[in-house]
Amino acid sequence: MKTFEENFTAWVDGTLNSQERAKFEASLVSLQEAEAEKTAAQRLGSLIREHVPAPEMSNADFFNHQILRQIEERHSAPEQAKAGGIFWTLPRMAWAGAFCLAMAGAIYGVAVPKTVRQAAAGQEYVAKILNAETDDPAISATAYHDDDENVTVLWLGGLDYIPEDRLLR
Amino acid sequence: MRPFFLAALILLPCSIWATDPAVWSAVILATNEEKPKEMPAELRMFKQKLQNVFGYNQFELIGQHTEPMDDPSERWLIPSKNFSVRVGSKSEQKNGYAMNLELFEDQRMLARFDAHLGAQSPLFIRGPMYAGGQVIILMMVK
Amino acid sequence: MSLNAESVAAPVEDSELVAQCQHGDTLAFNELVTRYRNKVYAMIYNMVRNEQDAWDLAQDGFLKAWKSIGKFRGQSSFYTWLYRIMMNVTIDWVRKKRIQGEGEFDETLGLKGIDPGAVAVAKTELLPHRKMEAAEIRARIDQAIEKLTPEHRAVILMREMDGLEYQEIADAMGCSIGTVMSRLFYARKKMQGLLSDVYENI
Repeated sequence: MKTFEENFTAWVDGTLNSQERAKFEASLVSLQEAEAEKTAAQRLGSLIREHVPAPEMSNADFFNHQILRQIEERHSAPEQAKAGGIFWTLPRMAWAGAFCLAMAGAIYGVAVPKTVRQAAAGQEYVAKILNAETDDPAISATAYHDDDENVTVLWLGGLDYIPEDRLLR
Repeated sequence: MRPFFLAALILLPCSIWATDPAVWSAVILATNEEKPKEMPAELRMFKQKLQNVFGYNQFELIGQHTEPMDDPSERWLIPSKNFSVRVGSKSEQKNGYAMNLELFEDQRMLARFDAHLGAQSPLFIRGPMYAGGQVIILMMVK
Repeated sequence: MSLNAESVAAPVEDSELVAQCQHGDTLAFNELVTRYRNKVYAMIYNMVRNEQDAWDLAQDGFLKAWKSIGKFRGQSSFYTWLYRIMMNVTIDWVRKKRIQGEGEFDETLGLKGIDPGAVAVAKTELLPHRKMEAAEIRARIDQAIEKLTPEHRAVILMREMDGLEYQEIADAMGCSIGTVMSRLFYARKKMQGLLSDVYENI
């Protein structure tokens, strides 16, 4: 049993069959008022289609490039389906993690000379963002360091674009 | 004792000069062009970094400004007419500065942030979009 | 327009690319991103009305899609599945924005984000005064869309802009067809009320 709202929507969009349509129209208090509503709803649809644009993404190739880069950096492979045998069960991962940590600690303590460790502590100075905030809730600020490029980026999102008729200077 | 005192007197101005670096800031418009213009000389050392981080192939220098950080008072970096950075407070760190910064687009503050700036690595700020391109603000201790 | 329109015309089927992605093939995923980035971006842009946010959210959505593509079983088309991820990302973002204090509509918001060049009618066909009118209508529509809840916003844009069927919208929203139709009813009603004077002046 459809609700009035469901039937009305189907009626406006012309998705009721003739039997359903006749039944729905017979149930209306005022067919004339409903017809006016229907016309208004259809006009709304054409207004949206005419005036709301479907903008094209700018810098689309870079969009792909960044996605692939982030995939390579953060997620080496997608989560595979659970079908088939899974080697990395939780206990195995926990044991492997503990083993790796122990090995890393041992290698660091024994194999890395003290002088190298000291040099690493005084490594070159890189730009850092300690915290960032905005007063405008529409603007977001995210900072990250790009190790490959040795550059720090403050990524501001949600900024209004500068109108093209304004001279940038 | 006297030679040490004389040496200290001679070295003092040198050490003050040596610890008075400046912050260089620039406003860049990045776009993708079929035939990109040559990179301005000031930006050449950042070419690869800018291309890899932002993905554009042409970078125009809209403006730049170098401000010495020689006294503790408030400073303004004004690399272009539209964009400026207020340096509220700063403290000297090894190989750089810790600064409290506010980025403005005209009169409007876009973001406030605490940053460490050094000479070895630049800070890129992704600004608003303009004419199908991207405004980038660049800062570095020189 | 059907959800499968682009994939049918494509030389390699989506399902084949998805299978390659499930074996960790990032180039296959790159192809899927290229195929759907513009459609996804346009939809998100109209939900959030900001280029940078739409760009960032579309990226976030594609990364989430990559992360969980191993779980995709092909019960729906890849695009419907992707659309669902994008909608979740976008609706969450819009909700968070509202919680952060943007709940009340700012009269200026709709106007400042408008690109006169983005009006759908060809520039050359417009006289100067008509162009203003088109931009104004666009602004009013934007304002009205912003007054809707994220769910109502998504439903009306998917139906009126993308021309999706109720079932496709239901799949993308993770709800029943009845809920889609009901949301559409209330979204239209609200927008009609908000735009009543616009109807009279065009």
